Amino acid sequence: MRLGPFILRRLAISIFVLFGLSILIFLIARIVPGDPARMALGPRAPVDVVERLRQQMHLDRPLFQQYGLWLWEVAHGNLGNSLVTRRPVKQDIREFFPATLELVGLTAIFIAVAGISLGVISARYANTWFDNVVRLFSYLGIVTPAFAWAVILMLLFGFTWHIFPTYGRLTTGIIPPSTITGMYTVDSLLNGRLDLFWDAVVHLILPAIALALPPMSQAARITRSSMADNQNKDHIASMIAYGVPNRIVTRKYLLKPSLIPPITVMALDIAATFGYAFMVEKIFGFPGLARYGIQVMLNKDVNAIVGVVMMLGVVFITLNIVVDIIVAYLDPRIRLLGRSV
Amino acid sequence: MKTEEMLTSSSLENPWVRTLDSLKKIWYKFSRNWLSVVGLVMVIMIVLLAVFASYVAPYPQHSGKFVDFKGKNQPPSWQHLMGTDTIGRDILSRIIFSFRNALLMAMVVLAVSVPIGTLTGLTAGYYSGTWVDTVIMRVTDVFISVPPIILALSIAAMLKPTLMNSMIAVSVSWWPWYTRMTYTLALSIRNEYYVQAAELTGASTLYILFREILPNCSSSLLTKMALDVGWVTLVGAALSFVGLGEQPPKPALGTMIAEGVERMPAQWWIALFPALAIMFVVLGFNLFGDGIRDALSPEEA
Amino acid sequence: MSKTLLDIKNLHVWFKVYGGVLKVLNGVNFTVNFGEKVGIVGETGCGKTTTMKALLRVLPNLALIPEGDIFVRGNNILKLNSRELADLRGRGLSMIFQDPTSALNPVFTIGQQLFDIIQYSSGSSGRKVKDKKKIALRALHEARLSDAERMLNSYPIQLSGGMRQRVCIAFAIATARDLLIADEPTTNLDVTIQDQVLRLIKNLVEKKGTSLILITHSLGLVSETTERVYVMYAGNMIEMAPTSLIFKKPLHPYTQGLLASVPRLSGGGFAEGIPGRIPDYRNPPPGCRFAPRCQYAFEPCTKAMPPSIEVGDGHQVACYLYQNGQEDRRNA
Repeated sequence: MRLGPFILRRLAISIFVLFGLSILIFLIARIVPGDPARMALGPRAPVDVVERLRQQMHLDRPLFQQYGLWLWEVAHGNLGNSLVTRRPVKQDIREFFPATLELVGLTAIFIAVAGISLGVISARYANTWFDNVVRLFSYLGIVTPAFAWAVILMLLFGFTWHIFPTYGRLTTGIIPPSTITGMYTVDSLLNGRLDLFWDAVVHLILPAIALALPPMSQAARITRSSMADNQNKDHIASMIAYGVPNRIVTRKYLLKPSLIPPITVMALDIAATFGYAFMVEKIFGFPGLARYGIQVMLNKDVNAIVGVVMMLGVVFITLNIVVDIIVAYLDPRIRLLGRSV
Repeated sequence: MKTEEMLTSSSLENPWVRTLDSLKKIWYKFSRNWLSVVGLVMVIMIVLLAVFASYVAPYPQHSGKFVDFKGKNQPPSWQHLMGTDTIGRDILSRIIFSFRNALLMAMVVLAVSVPIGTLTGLTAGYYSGTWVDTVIMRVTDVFISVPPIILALSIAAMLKPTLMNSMIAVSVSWWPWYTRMTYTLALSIRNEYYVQAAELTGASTLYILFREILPNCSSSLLTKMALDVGWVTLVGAALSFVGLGEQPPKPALGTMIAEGVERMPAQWWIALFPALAIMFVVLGFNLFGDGIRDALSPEEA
Repeated sequence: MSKTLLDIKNLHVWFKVYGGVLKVLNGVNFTVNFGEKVGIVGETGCGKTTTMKALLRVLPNLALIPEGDIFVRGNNILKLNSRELADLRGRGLSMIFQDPTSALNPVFTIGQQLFDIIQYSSGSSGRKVKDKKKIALRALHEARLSDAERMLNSYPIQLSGGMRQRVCIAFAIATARDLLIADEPTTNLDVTIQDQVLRLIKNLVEKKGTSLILITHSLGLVSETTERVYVMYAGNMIEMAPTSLIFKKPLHPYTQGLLASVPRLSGGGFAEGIPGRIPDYRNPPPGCRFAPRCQYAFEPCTKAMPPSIEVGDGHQVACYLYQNGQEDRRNA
């Protein structure tokens, strides 16, 4: 099938998965021992107030009715109020999500650019000193978790050599640009404030590198082995035999099929980065969704937890669709057969 | 040597000799890469440290309730190779004891998620195309749509923060990945001739699943399991970083890092050494896992 | 001008692997003249494909050539740099592989690959697009592929095995000038397609006067298609003769064993295989590599590889049994 129907099919499946996720999250939220209404109002609230809130929250209805009502609310953008901040969860998310999005975005750029480039160069110079150094570092990169890198980078580049800042999104005291998207980098550019842009970027660099190192190393490794595998394939030998110059063979015929494995893995890694972002955000004092997510989780702020997880679910599913489309574009076998063998 | 001679050759018939021979072959393939041997050494070290923690740690009592405000925040020295933390506990000893829970968690998580995951994956793969396949894989897809660490966090956050609950949370987030892997493997294996032959001769489904298909997945499974010990430790550390999982005063790698981060950069050792310890565990099991993959991979022509 | 298109002299090829070095090619001597059809026969793993890969200079990174020369139209290609090589290749070599699925890049259309091949097969200057498309369509047509227009926009995955192999032949048709290397072109195909593909190859070779190297383990194929045959074993050319002669008078014990292994429809009895296996290339036998399996092996066989000796009528054999020319030592 052509690209169009393929995309539609993927969308349909994704909506289904999103539904499934919502059911899963809802069930988990309701498993929480304890009475959500009581928890919202605190231990000293009188019983009838709690009872009224329970009715308001539909806690007395059967489970699937609760789900239906809840879904209705969510579809209309009402995620309830956070127990911690006492504000609509939607507002919390709108405040914190762009920060994390910026961070993961920059991380993704690092992963894609550095990971694939290193992999390609490494494959080109396979078994030379360059290759061996890269392989060693990428191995270390993979096994060191992002938060460990965060600690190391912070010590080295933040405190020992004062190159990069180690706290927050902007230098304390600086006023952020007026909010259009919520992402300081984008907003400052849109406002024409290059100084703010630079400040925001500089604050993002250390956490982004810390988050990017493990997946970047993984991507480099996979790219390299993918290219090495394809190098020995008959079709490459055939192109060379027919006299097609090496540079064309490498840049076109070798690169395209080799990109597929790393891109698929990068999708998973970028999604996982959202998970590790919370630790890195905490370490660098970065006020993002991940840090917010952790706080609400510890406080059993059910509405907020559900909101955050659903938000992340949407992000991942979108990410998966984008990656699937890219891969389908690269590999006709996927869009024609739905699989790659 | 004529064909008849080869058939009656006695040495290869003896099952003990065959087992020894295959073990020797496995070791040969494993040890060809010196890094895998390094990994094996590291893994053995970690296991021994975990098991014999009380005997090996220099200050075993520091792993429990212990305070010594006089000796707090000491930088690394000969008495305390990795320094002390904010209430005077020796960091090296606590790290050694934390390996215990880390390995325990890894074992429990794998013991739960591997059987569930492989069983569902095998079933879905074997009955590919039927409603069994669809149901199992759609449910798995939902679980996989969220990275395991986030799912584990959410689940653990909903429950009381104990070691047991964090193990449950991680197991639930982990089994779908085994399902996915076994499913893909089963899909490709079920069309092999030997499976069809078994079906034709009337073998029961259980037999086919366990005696024909599963053994051919074993190398991928075992490799993934070895690698996963490292990754589960990592996720466990992430959980305890946030305060879920093993509660203080019991030592946990993630908790120690969280404490240490507050004291950066002045008391850098409090955060750095636990971080390096996690690196050590993940690295060791990764190298070991790579070696297992080499050791179990079929020989090339 | 010399009539020798290709001359491989004393070629050694080694592969660096984990456990040591695989000394695959052990001094291969091989020539092909312009317009000639030569076959290479040998069992799997004897080094046939490696020789061709060395010729095309597409050996993997871990291969090295410690000794030997390869002359193509008089040029020693082992001493050329990559640009000169590309030039040389473009002007005359084409290759058909055993497995048509892996011979075509799965993520590009037939057209994309074909256009690039046509573009670069004449050196580096480009022809106008119109030309390329015409040439491509014509080549596809000659390879008996219907609906050539649609074929150009198809991906290999959309074609059957037989069609893919014919596409590979179309590649050769579009560019072939001097030499076509066919490596087991029919092994992976259905019997019904095999015949078609073979006829296409023969057609191509005869019409354009292209030299042919046919690599196969099928003796029947060789007798049908070639003029001269090399028999290869474990990295050496152990016998070479005109095709008609090799069947009537096989000299090397290995060749004799090969011919005896062919099951016969009449005459009863089972065909005998050749006992033993090809040597371990990490530790090859010091002398003749066939000696461990040879029932006629005697003293000099374990000392050094026997040189290839002419025994008349364009028949050469590398075996100590024939050291004194025609005389078969066994009959002495």
